[in-house]
Amino acid sequence: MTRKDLESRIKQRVHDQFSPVAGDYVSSVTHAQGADLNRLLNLAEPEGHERVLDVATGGGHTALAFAPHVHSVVASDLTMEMLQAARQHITAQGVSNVAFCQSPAEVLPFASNHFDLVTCRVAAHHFANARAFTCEAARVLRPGGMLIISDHIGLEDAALDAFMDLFERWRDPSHVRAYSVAEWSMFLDAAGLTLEHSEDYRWEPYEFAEWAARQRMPVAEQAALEQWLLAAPERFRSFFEITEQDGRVVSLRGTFGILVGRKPGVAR
Amino acid sequence: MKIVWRLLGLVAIVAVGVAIFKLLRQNRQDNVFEMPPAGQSGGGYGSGEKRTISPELLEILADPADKGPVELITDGNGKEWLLNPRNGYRYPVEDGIPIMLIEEGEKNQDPSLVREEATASE
Repeated sequence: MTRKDLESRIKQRVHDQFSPVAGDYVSSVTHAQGADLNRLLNLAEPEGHERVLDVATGGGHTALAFAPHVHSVVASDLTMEMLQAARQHITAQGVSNVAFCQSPAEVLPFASNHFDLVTCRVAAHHFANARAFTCEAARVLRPGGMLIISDHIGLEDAALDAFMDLFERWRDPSHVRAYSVAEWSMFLDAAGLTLEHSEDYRWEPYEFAEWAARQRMPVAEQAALEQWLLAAPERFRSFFEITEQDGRVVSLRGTFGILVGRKPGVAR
Repeated sequence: MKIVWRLLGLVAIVAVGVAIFKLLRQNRQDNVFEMPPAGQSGGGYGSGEKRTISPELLEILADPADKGPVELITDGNGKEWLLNPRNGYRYPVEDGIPIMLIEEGEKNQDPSLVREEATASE
């Protein structure tokens, strides 16, 4: 199988995974009210004139959070159903400076050197080619522009990393990979961006039942995943904060982080 | 002198009454026209009910393959497309959202729309 076949297969899987649950991602409290949105705004420090691109906008939460603080936002996503759900949600809030565009993250249909800010929140772990996305983000950014990525972050400890990778993909087959800070640093470097800042970001633990249900995980699969999680060695259970009640998993925690890349050059 | 003050007081009460009435009426109108007209408020894109691509988005949209500019065209059936005049690729616009997937552009290619000068200027 060529790289291209693999990428189109991944994109198909993302589409199949998200088009039936588009509305759920708009209404998901975790996605809509993540306190990380405020953190992203603080890091970006918008002054009001910025042109922003939000890649893989999903429920449109990042686009909506930035829209009142910037000149305009373009929200792109691979899935038309997500875009329509996001547009409905955003226009219902009376926000009108957000435009929508269907496009894969790896091949952006925008002029070069245009955006002041590119955001990508809780999405890059689905990308067929995160390296290509980073290059495209760098291309569409103006010199001095900023790329902010907020996502699952992979772990330097290979065993912990493999464990997390397995439970994330078990729940969501379109989960490709949570890249570590070192991997992101390589992608940014290859794209000509400077990694300016990175930080861990602690999300709320996953409430297991809600987390599994949001991706329409079959009941039998949920039970199998629970058994597997509960059978894990203590080191894994404590690292991912797996909590248990009456033989069922109540919650667990994935690792997240925020990265800021900068395109060299002077602001216009 | 007393009568002047009384008159002034009366006028003030009437003025306040008229002001309140106007405010209430304005408020009711605002509620009726809750949706702002497309393209009015905010920084520019103004999507709204019209479901058309805003000029600002159009200006920065590029062909995903060659990254050159695209043009908004309308075919005989009134359907809108984003045309790459250099190779005739046409990208569909669905309900105001451009579908900028290379495979879509290729599928809807119309070689008769290729313009030599567009190719040359690249």
